[in-house]
Amino acid sequence: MLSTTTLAAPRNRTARVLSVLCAAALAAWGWLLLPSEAMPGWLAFVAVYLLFPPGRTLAVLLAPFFVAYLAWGVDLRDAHEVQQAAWRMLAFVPVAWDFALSWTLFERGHRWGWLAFGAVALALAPSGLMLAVGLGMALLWQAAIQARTAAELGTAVRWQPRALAGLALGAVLLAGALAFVGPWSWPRLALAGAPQAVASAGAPAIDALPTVEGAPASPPAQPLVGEPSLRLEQAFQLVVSLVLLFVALVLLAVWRRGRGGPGARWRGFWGALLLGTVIGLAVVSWLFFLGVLAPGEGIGGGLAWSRVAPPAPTAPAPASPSEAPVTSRRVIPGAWGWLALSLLALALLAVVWAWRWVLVDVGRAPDEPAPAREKRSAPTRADAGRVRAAYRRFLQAARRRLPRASYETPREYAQRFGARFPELAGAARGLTELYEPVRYGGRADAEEAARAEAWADALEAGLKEETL
Amino acid sequence: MIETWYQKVKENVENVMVGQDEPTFLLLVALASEGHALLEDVPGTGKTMLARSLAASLGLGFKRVQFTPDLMPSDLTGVNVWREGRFEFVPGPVFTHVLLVDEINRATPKTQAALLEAMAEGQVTTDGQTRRLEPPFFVIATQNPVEMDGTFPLPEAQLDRFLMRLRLGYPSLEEEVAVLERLRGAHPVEALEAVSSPAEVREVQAQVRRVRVDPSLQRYVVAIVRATREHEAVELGASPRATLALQRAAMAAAALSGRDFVLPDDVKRVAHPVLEHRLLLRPEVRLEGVRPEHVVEAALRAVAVPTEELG
Repeated sequence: MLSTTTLAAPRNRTARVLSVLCAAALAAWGWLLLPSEAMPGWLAFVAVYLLFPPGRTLAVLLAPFFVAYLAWGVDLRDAHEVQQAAWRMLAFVPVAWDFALSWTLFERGHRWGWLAFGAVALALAPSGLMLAVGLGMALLWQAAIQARTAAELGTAVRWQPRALAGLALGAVLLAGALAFVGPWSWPRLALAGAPQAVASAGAPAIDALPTVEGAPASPPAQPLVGEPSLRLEQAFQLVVSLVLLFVALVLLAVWRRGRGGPGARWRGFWGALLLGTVIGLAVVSWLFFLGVLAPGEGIGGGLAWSRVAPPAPTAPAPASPSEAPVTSRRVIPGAWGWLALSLLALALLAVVWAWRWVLVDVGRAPDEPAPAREKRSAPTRADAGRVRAAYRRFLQAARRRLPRASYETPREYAQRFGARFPELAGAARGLTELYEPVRYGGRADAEEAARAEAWADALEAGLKEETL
Repeated sequence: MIETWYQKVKENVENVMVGQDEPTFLLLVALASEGHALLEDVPGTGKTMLARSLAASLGLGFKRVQFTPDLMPSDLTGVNVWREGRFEFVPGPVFTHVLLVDEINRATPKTQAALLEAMAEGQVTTDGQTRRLEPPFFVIATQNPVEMDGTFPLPEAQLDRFLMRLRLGYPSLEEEVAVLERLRGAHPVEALEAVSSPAEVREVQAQVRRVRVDPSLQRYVVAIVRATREHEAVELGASPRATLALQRAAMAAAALSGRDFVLPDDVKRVAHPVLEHRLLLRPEVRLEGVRPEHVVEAALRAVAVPTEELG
C-alpha cells in the first residue's frame, strides 16, 4: 500500500494508477542508467522517496556515501579501472538527486518536470533506448498530471480516440525505430552472420568500417574508441529531418489557426512545440558532440551501438574460423539508418500530437454539449469542475490579448478585462461571479455550471471577433 | 444577516461621520474578528468621533480614557478600596465593551502594558485576583504619529496585539464642507441611537468564526506574510500572529460583505491595515522613504493568487 500523499491522494482511480505507473517508470528509467551493484541502493532510495517522505532528506544526504561504498577498492590511479568501474557508480548521485528533483516536480504538478530526469539520462547514456524511454515517460507524465487535475476538478478523464490513435501509432513507430538501435535489433542479428549483405546495402562510407565476424586472417578485435559513430553527412541529414519536422509542426498549427472554427483550440500548441524543440535539440547535440565533433572521444550516437571489445593480447586465438567469436562492430548502414531516423521522426510527431490531444481534451470534451438538467440539483464536484473548466477556458482565450497577472484576483481581472473589452464586461463579470463561490466556497450546481459554460462560450466567441 | 447588520450600523455611523466608509468597515471587521484597532493620524481628523459614534451605534457599553504620562495602571484596571471593614473592588474603565483609549502613546510603557494585557487575555488581575472582561471587549486606541513630541512609542511586540492599524486621512473638499454643514448646530453624536446590542455583536463574532477559508487561500495568506519577512527592506517581518490576524480579518471582511467564504479580494482588502504596523524597517531604507505600505504592496504583488493554472 503506497502511503505517500502524492500517490494516495488522487481520489480518481485513473489518476492514482497513472501516478503509480509514473513512479514505476521513473524508477525503471533510473535503473537503466545504473550498474547492477547499485541496484540495492537505488531501490532503497526510490522506496524511501516514494513511500516515506520524512526520510527523503536523509536519503538524499546518504547517496554520496552509498557511492563511496560501491567504489570501495577501486584503484583511482588506474584511469582505465576508474573509467570502467567507478564512473557508472558515480552516476548514482546525479541520478538519485535528479530522481528526487523530478518526483518533487511531479508532486507539484509540474508539466515539464520529466525533463530534469530526461536531460541527465541522455547525458549519462545517450542512446536510442533512452530517447524512447524518455518519450514514453513524457507521455505518461503528462497523462498522470492531467488525470490528477481532472480528479481535482471532479471531472472524468476522457481518452479521446485521436489521442489513443496517436499513442498507438507512436508506439508502433517507436518499436520499429528501436529495432535498429537496441540490443533487440533484428537487422543487427540478421546481419551479424552476413556482413557482406551490409556492404552491399549500405552507404560506402559506413561500409568502410569493418563489420566482421572473426576470420583467420583478420587481426584480433580492437576497441572502437576513437571512431566516429556517424558521418557528417548523415548528421546533416538528421538535422534537416528534424528541422523539417518542426517546420511541419509550425505550418500545421498556422493552418489550423487560420482555419478557425469551434474545433481549433491552441492550448497545447506551444507546449507541443517546446517539447519537440527540446527533444530535437537534445538529439542533435548528443549526435553532434558525442558522435561527430569529438571523434576522438565519441562513444556513439543513438543509432549506433558501439562497444569496446575486451583487450585482445590475452585472449586465446580461435582454433578455427568456425569457432571464432563474433565481435560486435558498429553497424550503421546508410539505408537502414535513414529508415530508422525517419521512423523515429514520425514517432516523435505522433507522440507529440497524441500528447497534445490528451492535454486538450481531458476533463471536458469541447464538442460535447453540456448535459442539460431540468431541476436544480445538489452541489457536486463534477458541477464545480465544469465551472472551473469554463473559467479556465476564459483565461486561456484571453491570454493572448490580456493575460491575467499572477497577483490579480479573479474580480480584479474581470474589472480590468471589462475596461479593455467593454462589450464583454458583463460576460466576464458574470462568469467570475459564478466562479468565485465554486473556487473559494466549494459550491456549484448544474444550472450554474451550464451558465458558466455559456458565459465562457460567449467570451471565447467575443474574443475571437475582437481578434478578427 | 451579518451584511444587514453591517449596513444598519454603517448608515447610523454615517449620520455623524462623513466620507469614512472604509475606516468604518475596517473597524467593524476588527470588532467582528474579536480584535482591537489602532487609529493613527494627526490630531483633528475624527478618530475619537468615529470611535464614539461606532460605540453608540452598536449599543455597547462605552468608556473613554485619555492617556497621559501620569496615568497609572490601576487607573485603568481598577483598585481595591477599604470600605465597611473589607476590601471592595472598584472596577476601572477597562470593564466595559468598547474602550476608547485616546492617545495611547502618551502614557508610560507600564500603563500601556497593563492595557495590552487586558486586550490579549480578556481579563484583568488586581491584587492577585483575576476578573474576566465581559465580551465583546473592543479597544479602539488612537495615537498621534510617533514623530510628534511627548510620546512613548508602542514597542513592536505590543503593536502586534492590535489586529489592525487604520489611518483616516484628511477629508476631501466636499467632505469637509459637508462636515461644516452637519456640525453647524448640536453635535449629531449626542443624538445617535443604538441599532445593535451586545448579544447581536456576539452572534456576529460567532458567525465570523464559521466562515470558510479555502486551503489554497490559507497558503496565500501565509505566503503574503512570509513575503514581508523576506523583503530586503524589512528588519523584522510580520509574525505568525499576523498570519492568524490576516485570516481572521479576511473572514470578517467576507462576512460583512455577505459571504460565508473568503475571497482573495478580502485578504487584499485587509492586508494593509493588518500587516503594516507589524513591520519594522531597516533604518537606512526608512531614510530613503520606504514605508511599510510599500513592503505590503510588494508582498501582495509577489504572491500569486490561487485561481486556475493554465499549464
